[in-house]
Amino acid sequence: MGTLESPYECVIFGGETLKSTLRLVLSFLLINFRDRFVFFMNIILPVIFLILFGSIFGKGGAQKPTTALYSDVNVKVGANFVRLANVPSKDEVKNLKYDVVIVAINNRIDVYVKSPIDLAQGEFEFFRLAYASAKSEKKVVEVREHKLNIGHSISELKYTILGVITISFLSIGLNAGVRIYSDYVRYGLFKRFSVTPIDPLRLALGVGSAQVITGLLSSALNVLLSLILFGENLFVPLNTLWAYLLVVIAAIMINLALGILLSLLFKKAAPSLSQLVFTIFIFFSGVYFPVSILPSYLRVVTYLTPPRYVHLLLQKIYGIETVNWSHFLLICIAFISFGAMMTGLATRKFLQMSDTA
Amino acid sequence: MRKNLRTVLRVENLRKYYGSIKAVDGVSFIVEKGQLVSILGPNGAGKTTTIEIIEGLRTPDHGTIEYFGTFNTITNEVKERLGVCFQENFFFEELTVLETLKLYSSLYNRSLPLNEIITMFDLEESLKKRVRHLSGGQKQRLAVALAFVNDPELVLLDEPTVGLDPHARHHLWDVIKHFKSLGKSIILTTHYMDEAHQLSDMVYIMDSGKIIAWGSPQELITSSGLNAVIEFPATHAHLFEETVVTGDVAIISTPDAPGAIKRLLDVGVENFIVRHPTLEDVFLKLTGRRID
Repeated sequence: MGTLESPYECVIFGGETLKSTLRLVLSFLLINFRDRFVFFMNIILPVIFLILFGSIFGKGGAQKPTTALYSDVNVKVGANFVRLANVPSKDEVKNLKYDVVIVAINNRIDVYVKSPIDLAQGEFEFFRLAYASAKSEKKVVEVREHKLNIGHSISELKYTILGVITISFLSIGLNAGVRIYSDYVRYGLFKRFSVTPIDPLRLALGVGSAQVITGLLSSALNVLLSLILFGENLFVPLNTLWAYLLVVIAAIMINLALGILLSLLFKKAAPSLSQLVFTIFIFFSGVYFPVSILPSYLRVVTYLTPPRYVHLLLQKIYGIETVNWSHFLLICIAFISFGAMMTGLATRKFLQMSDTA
Repeated sequence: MRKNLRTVLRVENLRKYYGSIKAVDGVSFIVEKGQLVSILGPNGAGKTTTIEIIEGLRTPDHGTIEYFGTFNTITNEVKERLGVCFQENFFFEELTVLETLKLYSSLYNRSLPLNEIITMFDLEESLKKRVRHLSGGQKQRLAVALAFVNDPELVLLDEPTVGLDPHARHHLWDVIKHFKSLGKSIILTTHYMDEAHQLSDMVYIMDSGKIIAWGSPQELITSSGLNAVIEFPATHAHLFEETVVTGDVAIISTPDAPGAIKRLLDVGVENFIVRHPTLEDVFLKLTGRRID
């Protein structure tokens, strides 16, 4: 018979302890779905946002591609075309934030397609004729199309739905952090745990896992509703399911850590402050409203909001090149590590003696 | 000191000060296997602080605690063998009674069959009720039930019957007596004299952080030297020398009850009560005031 080498194997995965960890997860999960306020914030509010923003952005019809143009002659083009001052190199073409880049030089038109959104053919034909005319060429100039496999842009609807999912993760993690590590501590629920032989790691695992499952269920509901209500298919392909799971865990853990931080720093004021933080994050993370509406000195705040990064990670899963895979993993690992550290430390702290008169 | 294998808890010279407040000031006592020990005292006497030090929720400034003859600190092994009911109990309001019992019993390696606990604490009807919908009495029963889920050897009950109606109190007494008969050791803090008298093998009377008297209920009463106790209106307190006045009532303890009654009747006092002395009278004699 083998022996367990790591004490944690014994703590977390031993028969009885596994049972008790699952019981903790189930208990926190039941609370998430039975507490009216928590249920509203975690499940109902994201659905309201989904319907609200989906209705606004879902009626836009077919998405028009953004097109950049460099032409060696001055021709009239549609308003959808953005003129480039210099000839872009191939690398620059790849980095330009446009769906289509057109480079027209010496009677040749190179069309670089970076997005699956179809090139607005009418506008392009208009340009081609105008260019040929300007070049005094009666025949059609040479046109070459280059498909660049560098991801694609995202529709406003899809962007918004991912924003809704991002905010639901914020709500779940933040509220759990504050509820468990501020309210439960104040109301003596941690005191009850303190007199049991519970391992802090097991309790932290129970708390974290229940929130992650809630996050998965909430996001699944929003994905399903966006398909039913707006025909937007956001089902995650099986080959990226691991990445989706990783993002959910990372998102929940970083927001949980944030809630814990508020609880540790502000104690009784933490619940009110968490609502303030929630509201600020909705406005400043750029997941619903474009950051461009903010004054430039305020835009830096965006970089301090975890939902911004979670939103980028979610877009990556749907093929938008917001970050490369190594950055993707780095952000996930950083969020999960920080969340796990904060949850573990806070659980240990609150399970220890409370020595006030 | 000679070790007694029957001793499950030994508390020696426990002190806990908060600034100038001496919450616990040199408390010592022992609890033996199968014994019910009551710590009796008014609010603020230091009972809860003492219990919370034993539970490991507070660190003492001085003194030692020995659990089960082996452990000097509160390890997980000690917690496995300890049952706790707090003075104020909070639960996850959205869980049902059954879910709450399952949750807490899952935290221990050893537990009593839940059916047994449910029947014993009369929780059958409220099993599927969420805790938020329970009455105060039902919550209190659940709180005490949780102290027994792990089949503990030593149970700490801090004011377990506060807020219960007389019927529920007596039911809980029966349950406590049952566990005691199974060889469990119990520490009970209370400010109900009748509770301490009914249940305890040993009573420690605590006041201002100190234990001021101890013994079995009968020993305490006997050693106090109290005889018959007579209660009468405080307006006639001047009739006797050693009268203690609490509110509208004057109380005397006298070896000459007929003589005292005659004096009262002589001055026209007819509304008086003659009774045997109780622990309350012992406390009154020791401190000069009633416990509540």
